[in-house]
Amino acid sequence: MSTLNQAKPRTAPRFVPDWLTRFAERLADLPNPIVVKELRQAVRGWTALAMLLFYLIVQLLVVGLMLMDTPENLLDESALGNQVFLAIQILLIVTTVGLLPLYAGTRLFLERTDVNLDLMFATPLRPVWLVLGKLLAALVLGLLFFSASAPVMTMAYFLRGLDLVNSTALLGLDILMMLTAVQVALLVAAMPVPRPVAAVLGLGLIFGLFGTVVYLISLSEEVMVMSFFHRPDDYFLLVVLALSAFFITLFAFTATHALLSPPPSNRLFSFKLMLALTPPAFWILLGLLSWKLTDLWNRHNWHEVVHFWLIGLTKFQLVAGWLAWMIAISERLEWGPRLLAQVPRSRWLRVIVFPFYSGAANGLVFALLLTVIRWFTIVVGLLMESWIYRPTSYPSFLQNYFAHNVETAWVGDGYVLVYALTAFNLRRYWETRRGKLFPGWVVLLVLSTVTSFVGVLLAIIGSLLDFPDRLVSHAFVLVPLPLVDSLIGEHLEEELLRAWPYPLAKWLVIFCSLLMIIPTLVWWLGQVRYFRPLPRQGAEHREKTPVPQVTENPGPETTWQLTAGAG
Amino acid sequence: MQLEVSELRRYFGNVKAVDNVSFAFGTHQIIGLVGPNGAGKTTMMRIMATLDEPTAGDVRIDGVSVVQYPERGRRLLGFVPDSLPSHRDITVHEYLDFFARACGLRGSLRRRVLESIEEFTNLTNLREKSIHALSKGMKQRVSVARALLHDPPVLVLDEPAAGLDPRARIELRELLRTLCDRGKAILVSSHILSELEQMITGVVILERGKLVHAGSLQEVLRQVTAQRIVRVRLLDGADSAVEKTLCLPHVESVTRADQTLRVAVQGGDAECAALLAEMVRQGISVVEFQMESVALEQVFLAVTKGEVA
Repeated sequence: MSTLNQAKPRTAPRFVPDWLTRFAERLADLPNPIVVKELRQAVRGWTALAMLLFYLIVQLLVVGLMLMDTPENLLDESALGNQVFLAIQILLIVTTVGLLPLYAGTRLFLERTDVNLDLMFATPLRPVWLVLGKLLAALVLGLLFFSASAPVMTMAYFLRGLDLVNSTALLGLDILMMLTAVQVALLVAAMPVPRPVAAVLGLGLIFGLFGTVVYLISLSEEVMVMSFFHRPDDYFLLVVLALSAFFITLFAFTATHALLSPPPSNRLFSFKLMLALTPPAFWILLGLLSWKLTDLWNRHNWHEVVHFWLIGLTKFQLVAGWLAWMIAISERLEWGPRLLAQVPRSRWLRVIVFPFYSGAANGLVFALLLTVIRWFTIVVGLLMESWIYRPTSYPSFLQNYFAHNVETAWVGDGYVLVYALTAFNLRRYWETRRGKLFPGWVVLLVLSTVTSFVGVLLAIIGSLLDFPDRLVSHAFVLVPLPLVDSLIGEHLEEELLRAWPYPLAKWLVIFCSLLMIIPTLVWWLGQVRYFRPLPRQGAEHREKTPVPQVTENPGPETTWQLTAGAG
Repeated sequence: MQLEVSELRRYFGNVKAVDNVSFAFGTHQIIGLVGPNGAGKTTMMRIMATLDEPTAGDVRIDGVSVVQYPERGRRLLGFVPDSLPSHRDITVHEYLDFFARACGLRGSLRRRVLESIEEFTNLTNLREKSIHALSKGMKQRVSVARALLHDPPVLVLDEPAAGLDPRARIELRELLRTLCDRGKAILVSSHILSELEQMITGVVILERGKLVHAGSLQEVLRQVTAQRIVRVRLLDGADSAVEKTLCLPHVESVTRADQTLRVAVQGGDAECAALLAEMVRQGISVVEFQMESVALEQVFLAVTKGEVA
């Protein structure tokens, strides 16, 4: 190793004791480097400062106008404190849940479009620190806005009429929602899509943030005006909101981390864990909280509540399953040495972690695993309906829900499987035989669009020809969307189930599944053999083949001089 | 310390960006990586910098595989990409401080390292300037300074001289020479071959992802051409010397300019030594006998066909 970094420290007169300097230096080392960089940039840039100045001016104007507008004799008795707090609350929500996420997202988007991310990942800085740093920096900026409002809030408290419990709960919810909004904005900014698609995503984000801001403002009004949080059910709503925000943040965090990590790394591990564990964890917590905080369980039979709860869980699992298929068909076909270096040496552990590792072969198993878990939930629902409880005791909308849906559910899953595997095999063929690289999800999107178009075309032709069977317009044979719809909504109409396209669709699903499963299975079996840890580096190093030297090492230039009397 | 590239391959579908490339070099060396556009230079450098993964093969620094252990590899290698830093609203010092923190430098050590690097790269006067406002040459200096923060034994620079004015190029060249003298192993790619040949100790030539030649300029020349040009300065008798020289073995042609002969010799070092001995034996009064140096451009044109992968 060379010794470049050997400059002596500058000696300046010291007025601060050494131990204090050391302590300050240690303190300065604590924050994540990204947080330090982001905050420095925020201080030097005009955007964050302009936002803060604008915020302070608007806050001053609003509060000033409110106070000037209120007759002096009402100051003691009215709920002026309440109104002032509400005004500040609205201002805070618009700034921290609406504008701050856009600022954070734009910063990441601008940074990831050039060489900067490469430079960061050429250092020992890990992607998880990057995402966490961006989130924490936004949190610090957000807290700056909160602290800017602290004096006015304190004043609102002294103006009377302010419910401390309600206001504290709302502020806590604001901070959590701010974190969620920032993390979702970072996720959108991290998506590796072309600029037009990024613009569409950005617009979607703006609409989403606008909706959240409107909802939070209306909730704040309800809480402050009607003393909302004074009933148990209200607390339940607050907890559900907080829990949803927490899980969405966690989900978006792992997804952003996966998108920003270099493709050769095992970048999907944490995201897959989240995808597998989030729906049940969220739903179990929700069930427990509804039991503790609401009288839902007293108002209804408990098995009805559990039944409804199970239906909700299957919906979450369904969406997670689709996402898993989409990711599986887009993952890399082969594992690189960087990932294989992280494969456990224990065979049993290898089997357990296999579905969660990055790679198409792993992704397919993971998607199947989620489907199996969902079917396990459906079977539990069926058992409840058929054997454990009498269905007649259920409300009408719950009666035989699983029994009615189970047939459409498996055909729907079959469609998803066939579409996913067809897209995967097409992509695999183009990549390995033709050398063309297409992301799996793009192939799936094109495939679905084409078949949907054919379905719509069939429907138009059917109506032009006055075809008597209106079921043609449903185009079950090709279009997966009606069946997917049926999984989310209620079971299919009896008329549709009995008509000819539906049985045809079932047989088509079975036939196409076999057609697609066989080549995929052959590929998978061939591939899975390579999921082994690499030999230890020492052994490999001894076996390596010699490589040609570009030039012999000349060493540093040396000059010999004859010097008289040197001894 | 040695950087070894062994049987490195990187395929993008059917396109072989890097195809079975192997070479090695060590400390106190500046190796030029040259090749036409699309030859695979940047791909190979990105693999070295752990930003990409090879389809097969390995890159080792001091025996550590940067492919298998990228975290360890990053500590041993400093990378200067072909794009310049473009962070907004950040000064040179803050930019370097961020990367120093990212490299795990803490407390007073970080302060000392930043001071020494800024001094070494002549950035001390610019430390409070915004990166965005810097010239290309200064940005390139910042890039090199960033790559040096963790004092890596290996430096990989992708087109560092692109877009620089002559003065900035000379400064960069001097900087790299100093680093080489201090024991760094440096791999540098460039299209400006005349600039490159003034600092490199060896060259790696790529074309269509394949290694065409690797070695010192003279070695590469020996590999690509069987002819040497020797410049011989005589004391007198140039006319008779031309006739005598033309009759000597391995001599292909002789050109005369005043008392200096330019002799084309078919063969290598041994044939040139034999020519000198024969000329002296025949009484030709040789004052100076010098092999003509070969420009990198000549070598490059001789070994490449301008094809891309």
